[in-house]
Amino acid sequence: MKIHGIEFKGPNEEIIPIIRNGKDFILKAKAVLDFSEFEKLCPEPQPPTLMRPGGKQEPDLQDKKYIEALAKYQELRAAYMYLKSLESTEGLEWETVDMSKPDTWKNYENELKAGFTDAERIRIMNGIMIAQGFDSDKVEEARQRFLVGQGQESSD
Amino acid sequence: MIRNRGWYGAQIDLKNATIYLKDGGVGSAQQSLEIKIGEGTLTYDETRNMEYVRDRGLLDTVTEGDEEPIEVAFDFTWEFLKAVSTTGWGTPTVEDALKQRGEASVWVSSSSDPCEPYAVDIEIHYAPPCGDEQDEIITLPDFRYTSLAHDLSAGTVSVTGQCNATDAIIVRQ
Repeated sequence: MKIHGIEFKGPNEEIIPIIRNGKDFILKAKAVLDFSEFEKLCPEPQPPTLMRPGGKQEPDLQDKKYIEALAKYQELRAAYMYLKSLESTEGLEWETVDMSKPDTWKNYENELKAGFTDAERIRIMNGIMIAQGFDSDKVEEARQRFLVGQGQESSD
Repeated sequence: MIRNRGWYGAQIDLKNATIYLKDGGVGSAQQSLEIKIGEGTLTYDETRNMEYVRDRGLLDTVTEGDEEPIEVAFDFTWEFLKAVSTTGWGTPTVEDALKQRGEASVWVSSSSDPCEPYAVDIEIHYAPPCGDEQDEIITLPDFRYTSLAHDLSAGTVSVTGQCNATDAIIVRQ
């Protein structure tokens, strides 16, 4: 796909520098575009179906177990996104995370807590969100730049 | 020798209960049908045959006779049936679940012996209306119906059958 001749090639990448003892450590966060591997390991939970007398069926979106399963699914999806995003960081190794075992994915939080300050962790998370296109401030700035440009064009 | 049939039975008012029919699947592979009861009753009877042996007219010793299966009967009106579809199909009816057919055709028997006829576990979750009474989960394992009447349009079920077990499993919580 192209817009004004510019091709959108590959996922967006953010550089997250962490400075320790005067040394720069560079973390890279890359946008995760493909969740098919995640969906294979963690299929999206489906709501149970209710049948009423007469045979009419409907999904029960208020089912407690379904709501719990959906919350867990969303937590795991977010954890998968963080881990996959940081995979482009050279030399990064997790000690307690195994990508083939979804139950270990959330261990990244403890590993980050053990090694980074709150401010550093926030920078890492923000970097991942920006790479993924979730930075609402930047999107709003871009929208404002566009609207200002539109206003200038119409006043010309 | 005197033969005595010890008996324990319970009749449960199902107004405050939810019944689950469960297959023999393990973990997330287990299929189940939740039945929210409008009104009705479920009865199960446990029988124990005791043989009293006399020695010259005096009671001497006791031995246990043949085991008897739990007799189960339930008769209720359901408000709704609920199941998670693992096949992409809909909710099985009570009849489907008891007969391993239709939307319950992928259910597996709760019996560990593949040569035995298909069976399901019945689980009754009973929540007494009084707050100071404990909830009860009564499991009637390996149930097979012997007679069944089911009206889908009216939401009524009337079933009798037996379990390949001598005792119900009761857990209070």
